[in-house]
Amino acid sequence: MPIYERQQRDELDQLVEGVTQGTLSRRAFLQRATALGLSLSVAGSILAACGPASNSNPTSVDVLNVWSGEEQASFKAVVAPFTKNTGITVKIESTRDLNATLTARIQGRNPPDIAVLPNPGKMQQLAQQGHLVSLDNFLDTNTIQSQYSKGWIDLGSYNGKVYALFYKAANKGTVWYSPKQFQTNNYQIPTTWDQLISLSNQIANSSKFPWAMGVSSGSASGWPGADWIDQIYLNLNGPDLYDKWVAHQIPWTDASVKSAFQYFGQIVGGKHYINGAPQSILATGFQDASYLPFDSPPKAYMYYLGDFTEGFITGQFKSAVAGTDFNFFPFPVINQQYANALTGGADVVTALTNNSAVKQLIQYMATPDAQAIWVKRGGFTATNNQVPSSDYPDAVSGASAKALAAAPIFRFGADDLMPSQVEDAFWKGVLTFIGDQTQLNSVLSQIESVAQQAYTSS
Amino acid sequence: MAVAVSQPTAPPKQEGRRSSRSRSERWIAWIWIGPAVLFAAIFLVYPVISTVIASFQNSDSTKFVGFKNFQEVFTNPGLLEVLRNNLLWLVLATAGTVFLGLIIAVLVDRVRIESFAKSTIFIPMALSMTAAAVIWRFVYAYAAPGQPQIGILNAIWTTFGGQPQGFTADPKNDILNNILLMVAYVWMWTGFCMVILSAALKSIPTEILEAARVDGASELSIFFRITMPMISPTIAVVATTMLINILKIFDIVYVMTGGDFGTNVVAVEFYQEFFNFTNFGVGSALAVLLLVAIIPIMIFNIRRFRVQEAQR
Repeated sequence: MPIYERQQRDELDQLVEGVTQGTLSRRAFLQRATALGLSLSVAGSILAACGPASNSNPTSVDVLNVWSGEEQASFKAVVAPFTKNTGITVKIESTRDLNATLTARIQGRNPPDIAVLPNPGKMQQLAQQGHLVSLDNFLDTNTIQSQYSKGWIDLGSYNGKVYALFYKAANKGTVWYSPKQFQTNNYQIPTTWDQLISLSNQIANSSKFPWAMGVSSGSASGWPGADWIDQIYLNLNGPDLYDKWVAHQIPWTDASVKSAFQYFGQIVGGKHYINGAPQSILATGFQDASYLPFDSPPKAYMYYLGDFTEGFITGQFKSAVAGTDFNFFPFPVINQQYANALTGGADVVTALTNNSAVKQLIQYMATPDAQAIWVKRGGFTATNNQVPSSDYPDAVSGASAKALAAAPIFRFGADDLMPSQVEDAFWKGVLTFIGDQTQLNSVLSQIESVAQQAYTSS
Repeated sequence: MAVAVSQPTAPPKQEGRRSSRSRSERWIAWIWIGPAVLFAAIFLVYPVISTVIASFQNSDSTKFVGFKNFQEVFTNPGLLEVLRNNLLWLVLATAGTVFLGLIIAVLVDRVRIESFAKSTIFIPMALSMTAAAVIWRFVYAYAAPGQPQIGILNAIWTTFGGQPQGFTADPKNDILNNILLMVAYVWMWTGFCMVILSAALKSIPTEILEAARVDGASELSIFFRITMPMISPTIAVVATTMLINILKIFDIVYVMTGGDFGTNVVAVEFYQEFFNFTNFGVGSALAVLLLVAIIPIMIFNIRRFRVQEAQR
């Protein structure tokens, strides 16, 4: 209904002014506007166009992550000072099936404000699809470049822009053992692969099992074996070939990949190396297998997995003392040229919404103080190199963080950098390989065919 | 569910005179079923059309790629294995539940503890598929030799001096792994088949059976020549219900093995394609394949239903 009369128009102007300044509620505006003679749809569109800008000062941030229990409690402790200082509440949604939840929410046009992704491969996919907000506007470039090593910045970039903040790093070049047991039995800590094999043989010959290994992990089974192969590949073939492998510039059937698998096979199939191998490896969880070297009496002597294993050990053996009851030695050298190369992982913090609250939270999480809170609680290796190693709760976690920061060659775990289909095929291939090492060629060609499909489809 | 005892013989009758239905009655009928039809149209018909369209598009659903997704499904060995597993499930699990249900129904028919036995076998139906999967996962659980075995199968096996077996965790035994998973399903659903078949058995007129016995027929020939033909419509109902159920199998496979070790099925695979790989094209193609596979069964069911309705 058109408005002819001047009086009506003046009243409408007053109403619109009221609603933009926030003195008039939306409901009151609609009531009075329709009383003036506007149709509901017109009143509604005026409201949408001139209504109070409710998003200019958001007071809460929606975070989606996979953490639970102790880890989630630590994250809440990290954001508590932030909420106190800024008044912005952080709403945390935790889910074990992050992929499903995130995909559903993005498709439903209701993405979380911040998502903590499990791997950079997923981040690259989302950045390519345009769902992520670039962090270049949120973080000060100079600060970031001085506080984070170039490796972390490059990993978080896509097409020249930074999309991810790496958080909660993991050093994956750690082999866990019990110093007490090594001392009692007079075992020497191996520094090269050959020494590792001869130590394993020495233990095996005295009718004990040198290794514990478990790759079962629900529908992600196989990833601990993939970690082994990533670390071996880097130590054996070096960073350049590693990068080519990840980017699928060399095929999976290449000799370098095959030999990495074969090195892994030496441990899996070694005579009297692992109790119940290969079935026990496939059927035992990665957490349960980590307890074996620290049991009394010990059921094994060495276990390879990332530095988050410390959390499993201390969780199971409450009285275990870091340094005496458990410790790690760095992954042995295979090729002297690439000595002390490390693979690692980290959680990937990404932003999907662009507003001031998200900006403040991301800035806060990047500061060394925020990371130090979690470091002190244990189970967290900071990516920010300004966090002092004295903040770490014990010598073992401090040593792991130091090794990570000081590594001459560092690469993110290869399987986490690949597209999801390829990562999944890699994990399943590891399972088949462990079950039957003679299948290596067909395993590699199967992964290769998935990779070709994944890299060619849009 | 109406159970026809005699074979359908009469053709459907002609509709009554059209003018006997007033127009207002028709309108009222439409109003009654309106909400249901609307609901079905929004939540069933529209997603089906949308999925079929997505199956011809690429992984982002941004452009059309023709039959490429279907080609992928039929040439990729991983996906072919998925189809093989669904076929295995269809054949073995359906046969397992129906035959087991039938045999138990027949045996339990004459026994005094009949209702107790039937209740015991029916109880697993009260569980969700996920709960059943968790239970059987524990049954198959494995611990390294020398450790205490919490899986009951391994506990029995090792007591008799065997080495503990990683039952569903050996990639070499992929057919066996599927069968082990089917055991969980059969354990759950045999009760359902048994109860329905038992009701059908009881509706066979006892005079016929008495007459057969008097004529000197053995129990086995009574079973094959009289009982089975008389309850064959019920067997058809039960079998088609099981078939439809099994085509969609997801929970048991996802919880017990996550689709690893050669046990992947279509529903688990398209879940992973959708959510882990965000490959909507292939995921939709798999869903469409499932739809196409179910259509013949639905047609059979609808035909049978029409015939039954006509006999009323």
